[in-house]
Amino acid sequence: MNLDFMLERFQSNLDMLAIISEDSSFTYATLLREISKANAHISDNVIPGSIVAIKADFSVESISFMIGLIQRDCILVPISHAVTNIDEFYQIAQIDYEIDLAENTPKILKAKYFDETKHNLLSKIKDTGNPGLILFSSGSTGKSKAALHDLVPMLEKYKLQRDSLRTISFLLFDHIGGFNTLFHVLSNSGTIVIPQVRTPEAICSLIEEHRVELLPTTPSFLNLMIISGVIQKYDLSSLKLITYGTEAMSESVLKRINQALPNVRFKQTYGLSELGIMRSKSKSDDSLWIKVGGEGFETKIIDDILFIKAKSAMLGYLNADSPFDSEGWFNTQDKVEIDGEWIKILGRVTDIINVGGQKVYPAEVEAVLQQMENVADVAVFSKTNPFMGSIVAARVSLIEDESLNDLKRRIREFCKNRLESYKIPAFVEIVDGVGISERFKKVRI
Amino acid sequence: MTINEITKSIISIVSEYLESQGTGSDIDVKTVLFGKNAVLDSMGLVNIVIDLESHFLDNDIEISLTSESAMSRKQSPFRTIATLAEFINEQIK
Repeated sequence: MNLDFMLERFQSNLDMLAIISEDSSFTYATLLREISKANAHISDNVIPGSIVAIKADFSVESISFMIGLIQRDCILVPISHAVTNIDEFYQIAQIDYEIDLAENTPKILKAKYFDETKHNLLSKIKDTGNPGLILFSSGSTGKSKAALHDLVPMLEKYKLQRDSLRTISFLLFDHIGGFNTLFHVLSNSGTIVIPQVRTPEAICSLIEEHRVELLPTTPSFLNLMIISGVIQKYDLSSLKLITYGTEAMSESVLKRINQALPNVRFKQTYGLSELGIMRSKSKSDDSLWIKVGGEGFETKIIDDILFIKAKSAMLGYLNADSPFDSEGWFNTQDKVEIDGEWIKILGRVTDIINVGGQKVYPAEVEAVLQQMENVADVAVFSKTNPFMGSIVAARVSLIEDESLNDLKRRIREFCKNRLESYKIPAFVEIVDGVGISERFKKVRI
Repeated sequence: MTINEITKSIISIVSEYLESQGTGSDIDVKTVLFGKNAVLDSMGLVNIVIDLESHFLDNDIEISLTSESAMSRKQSPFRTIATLAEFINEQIK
């Protein structure tokens, strides 16, 4: 019922290409057949309205199961390969079934939480009969929180038809951005190109081979693309748009990627597992100033912190208190700078390093260090210090070998006129590769 | 490592730091590091302490200049190059 609008569009575009995965292409007609197959498995094994984990990455099969489960008003718990603590996630989501698509035949198993009395938010959504979605937030620091969504308001925005570009499903299957890419493209009869590996080389080769138009990705991955030097090796002329989000972008990385790909448009996206993805507009390709909003979203800024009220907001967390105030506003913890109707995201308040009472945003320091010669990538984080409480620490990966002493000296000299002294990293370490998670976000611990 | 060698290491690390700050000046054992009329501000001291610890670690000597005992001394070991050298010397004995 809830996906009728999408399935009708599939029906009227049967010959169009829906999915490209490895060496196979699937039209919307094939996708519909795959959905029927998934439906047969589901109706034999799953009670409607159940909480169902799908352990998979993007594939025709996993997409078909996802659609099939939504049609049966189930609560989806997508689990990608990036999740390491699966059992903990299953327990928090109190799943009834697990679907494992790793083998040739899908395995549907009843989970040990099947008979458990469910969290009251889960009981509530089960009572309404609406399908749901549980997403685990992946902060750069801290513990994952499980956000429970009612899919009915969340799917609402896909009903309005929009243009769709041939898109790589770069963000993962269990990420709000990955979910958004999938539903946006499919509900607008576009084509999803599924990567098997997410290295700069593999992604560029996929863009060339399948004439991809849109790459939704992260700042860390764009930086990897630049430093790996693969951009020049491939024909990326099909690429029209790169969207980046999920973490703060540094001005220097944005500048360099613009230079490397002058014909591509760049747009910053803004979304949260708790609220969904907002519509956004970048002031220009090389600008960090954005406008966010769109139908169903209201914003306000208090003490430079962005607050959002969203129609598509989650019902709540399964393992934490409700973050909404009595009027439904969500504190994003993102500190912003304002210029008229434009905002610039400075970073999460929770990532702030407190150096003897002075506040430092890791992204600001990273942006400066990234401009230095011989610096491939850098992650700035907090380190406890007996004098100051905390100090700014930097983990740097280099292009060519250099001693730590030389690097430290260069950092101090370079930063002297660019940053206040308390923002200059007092602790520096050289690493082979800056910690970037499986989701291509910087690790700041 | 003798106290003279320790002193030399401190002088070289402090000079290098001051140089990177563009405030290089003559440094000797009596130079006041921290406090009134000192060459370092608090961030400078933080940097020097981290540099010293990693310098000694490079030479397989583990020191902690920010231990409870260092921080709670009546006479701050960070007052001058000489007091700091003395303090490190005590630690590695």
